[in-house]
This record gives sequence, structure tokens and C-alpha cells, in this order.
Amino acid sequence: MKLLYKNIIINSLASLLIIFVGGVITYFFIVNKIKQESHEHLFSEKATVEEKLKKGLLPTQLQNNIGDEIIIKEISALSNKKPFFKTVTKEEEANEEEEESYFEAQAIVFDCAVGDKYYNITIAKLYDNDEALGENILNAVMISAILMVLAIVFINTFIYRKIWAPFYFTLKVLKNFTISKRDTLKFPRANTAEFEQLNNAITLMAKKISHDYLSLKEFTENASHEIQTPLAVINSKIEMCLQDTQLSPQQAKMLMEASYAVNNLVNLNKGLIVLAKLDNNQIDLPVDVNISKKIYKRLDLFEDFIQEKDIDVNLKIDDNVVIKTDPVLAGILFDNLIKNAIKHNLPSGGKIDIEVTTALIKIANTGVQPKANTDKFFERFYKDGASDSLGLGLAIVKKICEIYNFTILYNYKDGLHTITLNIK
Amino acid sequence: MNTTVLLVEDEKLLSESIAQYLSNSGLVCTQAYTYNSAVNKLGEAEFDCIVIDIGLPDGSGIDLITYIKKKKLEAGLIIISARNSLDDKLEGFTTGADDFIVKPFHLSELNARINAIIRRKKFDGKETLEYNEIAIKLESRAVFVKETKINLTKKEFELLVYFISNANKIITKDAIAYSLWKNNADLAVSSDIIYTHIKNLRKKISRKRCQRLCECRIRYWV
Repeated sequence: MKLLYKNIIINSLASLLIIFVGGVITYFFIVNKIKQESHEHLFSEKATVEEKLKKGLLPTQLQNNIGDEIIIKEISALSNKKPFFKTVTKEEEANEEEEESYFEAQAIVFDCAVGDKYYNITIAKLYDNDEALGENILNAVMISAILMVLAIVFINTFIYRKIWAPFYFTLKVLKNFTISKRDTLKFPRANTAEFEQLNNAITLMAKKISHDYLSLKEFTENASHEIQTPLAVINSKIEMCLQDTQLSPQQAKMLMEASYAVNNLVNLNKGLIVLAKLDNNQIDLPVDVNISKKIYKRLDLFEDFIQEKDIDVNLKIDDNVVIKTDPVLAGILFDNLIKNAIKHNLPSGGKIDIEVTTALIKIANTGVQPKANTDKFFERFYKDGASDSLGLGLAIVKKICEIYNFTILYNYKDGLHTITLNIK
Repeated sequence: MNTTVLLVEDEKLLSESIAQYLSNSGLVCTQAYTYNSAVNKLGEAEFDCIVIDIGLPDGSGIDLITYIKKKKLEAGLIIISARNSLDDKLEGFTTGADDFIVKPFHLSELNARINAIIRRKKFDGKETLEYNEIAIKLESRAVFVKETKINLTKKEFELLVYFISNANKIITKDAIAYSLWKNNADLAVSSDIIYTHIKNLRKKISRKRCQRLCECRIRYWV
């Protein structure tokens, strides 16, 4: 759920609760206050009544004299009770349409002696309808609640956008951040302290990660380069040993095997250096490369191998297809694809179809059905079965495609391996 | 007069192998392990070819090339480098190197390239490379066996020149593959294509009753 909605819901619920509780408390306060005031009022009424009775006013005359309702009963003797308050229920003087309703009133009850007569007097205060008061308070509460919720929604939606804008910007920047592209994070100054802190922390973290990533990359590349000199030494020593005419066939065989292994290591290392370079984006700016010509040129280099395997090559190459790329990388790309198509072709009499248009490059070759998961074909060090290849060729192809935003697809159908590059 | 080579390489083990291999091929090889000793040796004698490693402990091989060019020395220049980035290559060539070879390399390959450069420098490429009954006019790429012209394919021609450059040497299959196909050598190593070429070459030469080359000097292990 979006923070906005969470905010609105929590704030609204809390506000509603507070307003409701506040309403109830207000109601009771007011009722209590009214009661207190009516008690004070009744006390003074009591004093007035007593005084008037003592002055000789008849109880029956009293009714008109004070505004409140008064009930006077003659009693035979004074009770010991002190004056007390009670709540009486009174019947509303009902109109015909309205239902009969009752309301409560405060009354004071006391005994009084006038001369030799004793009276029990009840004075009931007439005050505003209790029920109406509750209703009014409820209305006020409801109106404030609605206003409150509206205000919360309004404030949250409009202010939220403004306040959280830097956060969403940060999020966008982070989403687009690719470490291998050597991006540096840039944030405008956020005027909220927390966002400013967040941005600073992220910038610092990204810097650290980039630094570590780069040093790791540099390490890989440097290691690959440093390996080359020892390899050159090993290679040269093997070659010198081989010049020895006294070598037994066994010794010669072992040296050849060592040489073969070193050579594999050399090729592996070369592949890794190319990949490290691509990973590090150490690439020149793309220029227009005529890939139609390039493919013809590259194919020439493989003529021997194509003849040896008696491969039938069918070309459907549009003239002068130009793409923006690095000429060296384009060469590596085509070399690897063609090499792949030859290496994994049938032992003899297979075919290779090459199609080049402005939209795609398609290389298809006959070959046995792939044994393993074809999704992994483009992963580093992936080898299909007992292939003696290093498993870097297609990984390099994929990396080059990534750099120039070509999509690459592999497909096997009816004995035909097809690799399609979408170069549009 | 002997052909002289100055080898500037700081890795002593490698330098020794190279020097030994080149000496065995009839070149006179002087070794220098640092930039300064290379400058000294250049002052002491003239060389036909200078082989320079780019990474030297007390300077860059590129600077050495600049120094050589400033001195207007006639020697052919070959850069050897552990770095194979395009930048190194371009930088090296623009400052006047004749060839560039990436570490690790085959001694036979280096030897062949040194010989090629020396031939180019000395004879402007108009030299005839001779070996027993075989004569090769390098510029026109024409091959003669006992004065009769034979037609070789491009690869067969390259193979023959490579063999003659490394006469009396034992060469590995990898080295041949690299020399002929460079970056696509792995395809050649995993196939019989080299044998096919050698077989054809042998046929074309022996048809002209040239026995000696074919008899013994091509020796390889499977």
C-alpha cells in the first residue's frame, strides 16, 4: 500500500477517534456544568421560597412568583432529612404530531416550617432540552470529523507530493543506476533534512561500491595481464625443450601436452581480457561500420575451415548495411559467430546460412541437437558436452550485443541452430 | 655479415629463451634488461632489428622507440607487450614500430617476424628467399623449385615461408596454427587442416623431385 494511503487512513482513524472521544467528554462536561449551575440556581430559589413563605406569602401564590415549577405539600412534621437534589422526569407538553417525549430536570427537595405549618417543597428547574444538547454536540462532532478527514486527505495528497518529491527522485536515480556503467549518482539538494541525509548516505554507499567494483575489475584485468609474462616464459621454455634432438618420443609427447595446456590457458586468458575490457566499457566511440563488407571479409578468413568440413555457405546479405559500433568489436562478434557455426557443424557436408538486413543478422548452421539447457549457451564457461572450446565465445558475443543494445536469440529447429541478432 | 638483434626484455627467463632460439637460427642476439642498458647498447653497436618489451622497469618501450627514431637508427622495430589493447598497438605503431606481438607468443613466430622485418629492411622486400632447391620471390609471392614455378595457395605459401624461417627447428602445431590463422587458430588446432596443408605442400614440392626439404625437415608430433 502506498505510504500516502496508509497516512490518510491512520490519520483519519486517529482523528475520528479523538474527535469522538472529545465529543463525548465535552458532552459530559457540559451536562455536568449545567447540573451544577441548576443546583446553584435551585439553592437560591430555595432561599427565595423560604424567605417568601416567611414573609407570609401563601404557598399557592408562590407558583407564579418564581419561574420554576414548584410542588408544595403540607406535612405533619419536619423530617430530619437535609435538602437534597433529585432528577425528575417530566413529560413534554406534546403537540399532536410529535411523539410524546420525556426530559429530565433537576429538582431540589426540602422541608420548610412556616409558623406552625410544615411543608415539603420540591422546586424543579426548567432548563434546555437535554436531548437537543446531545444532538447539537453530535452534529458538531460529525461536522468537525468530516472537515478533519477532508483536511487530512487534502493535506496528505497535495503536501505529500511536494514533500516526498525528492524521495521519488532518489528512487528513480537508484533504479537507473548501473554499477558497470560507471554512473555517478547526482542528487539536487533536498530541503528535507532526512532526504538530504538519505541522499548523502546513498551517494557515499554508491561511491564505495563503485570503488570496490572498479578495483575488483582492475584486479581481474591486471591479473590477466600479469599472467601473460609467466605464460610466455613457460611457453618459451617448452619450445626450447622441444628443440632438443635427444628427446625421447615420450618426453616429446609430454612436452606437447604441456604446450597444448598452456596454449589453452593463453586463449582463456585472452578471452577473459576481452571480457574484462568490455565489462569495464573500455570501448571507443561507435562509428559507422559497413557490416555487409565486414562479414564477407571475415568469412574469407574461415575459407580453409569451411572447405575442410565441406560446408555449403548460403549468403543473403543486403548491400551496405551500416550499424554504429566499434570495428574491432564487430570483427570479434562475427568471428565468434562464424567460428561457432563451423565448430558445431556436422563433421562433413553441413551448411551455414547467413542473412544480413538492416534489421537483423541471422546465422544458422546444421548440427546435432544441443544436449543441455540452451538458455545457458551465452553464459561464461558454458560448454555443450565434451566440446573442447573454452566457452567464452558466445559470452563475448552476448556482452558485445549488450553494449550496443542488440537483442540476441538462439533457436534450434529441424537440425538447424539459429542465432539471430536484432540490430535495429 | 651477421644479422644482429637487440632484445630489450626485462623478464630474464623469457629473454634467455628468446636469445637462445634466435642464436640457434643464426642471428646474433644482444640482451638488454632495462631502458638505460638498451640506450647504452644502442650507442655501442648497430643492430638490424630491435625487439622491445613495452613494460620496462625504468621506462616505457614506447619512449625507447621515440629515442631510436630521434637517433634516426635504421633498425627494424618489433614491440612485444603483455597488453593487447588497441591503444597500445596504435601508440606503438604511430611512434614507428614495424610489428607488434602479444605475449605470450611462440618463439618460432617471433623468429619468423624478425626475419621478415630484416628482409624488408635490407632488401626492400625484393629479396629472394632461398632454401636448398627452393627459391621464393617474396614481393611477387612466386615460388620456384629447381627453377620451375609451382603454384601454392595463400596458406601454403605462408606455411612454406614460416617453415623456412624456422628451418631446423621443431615447431608446435599451435605455433603453426597461430601463424596462419591468428585469432582463429583454435579452429585449426582442433582440426586436421594443418596436416592437409602440409600434405599438399609436400606433394607440390616433391612432384618437382625436390626430396631434401620434405624428407626430414618437417617433423612434428601429433
